[in-house]
Amino acid sequence: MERLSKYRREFTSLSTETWLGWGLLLPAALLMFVVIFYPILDGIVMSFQERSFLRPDIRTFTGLGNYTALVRDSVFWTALWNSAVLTGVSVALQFLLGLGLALLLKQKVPGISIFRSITMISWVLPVIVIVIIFNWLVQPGYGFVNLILDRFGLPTNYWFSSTTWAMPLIILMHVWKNAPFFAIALFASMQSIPDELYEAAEMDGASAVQQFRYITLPNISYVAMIMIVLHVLYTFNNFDFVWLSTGGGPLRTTEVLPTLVYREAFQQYALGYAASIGVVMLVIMMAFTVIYVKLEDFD
Amino acid sequence: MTNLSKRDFLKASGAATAASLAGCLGGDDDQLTFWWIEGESEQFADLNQWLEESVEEETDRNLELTGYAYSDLRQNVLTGGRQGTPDVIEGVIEHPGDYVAAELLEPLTDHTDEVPHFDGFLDSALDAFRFQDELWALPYTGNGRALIYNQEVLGEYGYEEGPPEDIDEFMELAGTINADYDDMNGFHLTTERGEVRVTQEFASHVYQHTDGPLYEWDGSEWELQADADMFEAVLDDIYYRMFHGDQPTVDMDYRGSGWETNDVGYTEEEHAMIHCGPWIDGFRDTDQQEEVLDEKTAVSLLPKHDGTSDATYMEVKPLMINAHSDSIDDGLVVASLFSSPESLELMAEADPGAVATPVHEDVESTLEDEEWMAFNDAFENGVAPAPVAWGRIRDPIYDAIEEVIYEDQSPGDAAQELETALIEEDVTLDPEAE
Repeated sequence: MERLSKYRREFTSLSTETWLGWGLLLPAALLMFVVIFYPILDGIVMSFQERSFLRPDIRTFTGLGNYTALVRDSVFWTALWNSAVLTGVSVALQFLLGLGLALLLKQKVPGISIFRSITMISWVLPVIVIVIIFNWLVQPGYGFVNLILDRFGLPTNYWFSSTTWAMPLIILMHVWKNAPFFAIALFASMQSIPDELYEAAEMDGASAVQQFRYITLPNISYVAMIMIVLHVLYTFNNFDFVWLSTGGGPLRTTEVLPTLVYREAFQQYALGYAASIGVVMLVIMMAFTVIYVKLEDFD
Repeated sequence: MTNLSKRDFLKASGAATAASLAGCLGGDDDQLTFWWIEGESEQFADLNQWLEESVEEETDRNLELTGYAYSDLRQNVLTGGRQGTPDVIEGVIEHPGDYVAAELLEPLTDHTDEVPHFDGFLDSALDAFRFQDELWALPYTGNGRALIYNQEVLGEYGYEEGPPEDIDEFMELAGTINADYDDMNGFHLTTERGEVRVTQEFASHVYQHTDGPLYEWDGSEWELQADADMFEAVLDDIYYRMFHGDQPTVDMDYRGSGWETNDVGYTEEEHAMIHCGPWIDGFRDTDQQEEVLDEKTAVSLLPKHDGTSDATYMEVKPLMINAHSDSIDDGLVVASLFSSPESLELMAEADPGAVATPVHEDVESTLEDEEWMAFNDAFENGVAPAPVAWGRIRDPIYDAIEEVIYEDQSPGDAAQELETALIEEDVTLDPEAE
């Protein structure tokens, strides 16, 4: 009986602590629901409705209508493919260039600290400024790039309007902006590798390439993976580079999912259809988020 | 010097947050808000100051002016206008339709007596904002799209009196100029996807065929006024020939370029002829630009096909009152003051191009040069866009133009697709309609 009473006391205490815990958690949970979950839920619900941006209060349930239309929409598939290409190529290049820069920053040569600061300039520039710079450089007639090409007798172009070069140019802008951030993150990670490892490797006769392969690379892989996943999320969701430079043209060669969502919602007023594209993006990005969370848990 | 403790920092942050929230939530009964594109512009500082002072004198309320790019302005009005801010909205001619559909605008039909200078507005300018049996906005500036050309260059080819009216002869001349000059295009148009000028220039030529707007209300629905033949005539004889004709009028580099390349390019003598409005007069940053505009430039109506009209795209800027404003009357005072002859005279001082073709009888045109007078005819021939969902129309137009200039489709096929798309598009702004 006394033993039972002890358990009761423990249970009561546990229950009280639990309720207190829940009580403390409740405001944050409510805030999260209002700020994060409600808009997501509303977006998902909206994807099953026909709704106009002009009168969002009028909702008509259409079941899977928006998704059926999406599957038949060739522009959606083009945008999905372009998003995948933009994300895959630009993140790969950002990583490779960032890694190269990080190795450069690691060198102990005079003036390297100034170089480190300069490296970050393109990362701190706002997207609109980057687009204006690039747009100005490739203007027909007076753009710097075209003037140089013309001087050497090479063909000139308004490169953002070229079906071949518009996407590479957008990728280049992404890389130009983000590679320095990769570099700094990877450089910081490299700084945490103990010098003793390199000294021991050198004594064992390991070449610079072998040191990089067997010491540097394994030690920065965790940070590298986190950076890659984060930038995949950022690039896949990025809207402003494309919208400000090409508007998705020419001939939809740079149309990506975020620009398509914007066009459908705010220009075509089709909120429901835009939401269905958003939900597809959400599913794809959730997969990457799961990878990110798993990586963060990785010990 | 006292160190800032964490506690101090938290206190300051809390106070700042509270103050911000109070500012956001509390509102200010003494304040009227007016969003117009030049709201914070130095160029229009005198006009804005005069407006603020005049509004305060007449309403005892402060006027807060905010400047937005038009796309942001429209989006912010559509998403937040129901909260009553802004009280007065400036915009472009396609905006009132959107706002009416969103039930955001106060109809002005019964308020016209409260605008002292109302009788002086040109009917054509007011008509641009009359639909659904109501007047929805007051006009304050306007223009018709015309052809700007370099007299000196055209003179070399015997066209001292201006470019040919016939589109065939016009494109031949432009092609010849382009071929003869290493560093000058004959005739340039904007073709950048998403650029609003592209659809306006395209519509100008289509209006010549329809002699009116692209869509007209037939009593039950909006009916397309153009057909594939008309679209083909425009796409083939202008857009295809511009880049791919026997004698292209412009270098291939210029495909997909926007308004900067067009307008600034003309003043820097990169093009002999372009489509433009009176604002071209404002591009005077260099001596070369001044010389081109003052000594070499003249204006004419757009070239056209045989048997078509002189119709062209009309742009009229609206001043609208938010139906959810806490004081419609005070908002009307702002719109009335801003569209008054006194205000327009101040506007002309800051930007002569804005009042080149005034929308009010009591305002004098800033046009002085005889060579620029064709802007008056262009404004008279101007056709205002129908109040339909322009977002749904623009995409198929961009598609058609891009397909032609990138030779992805023949002009005939692109025209056929465009006609089908524009018939099928639901251009009505009423979300409750079928």
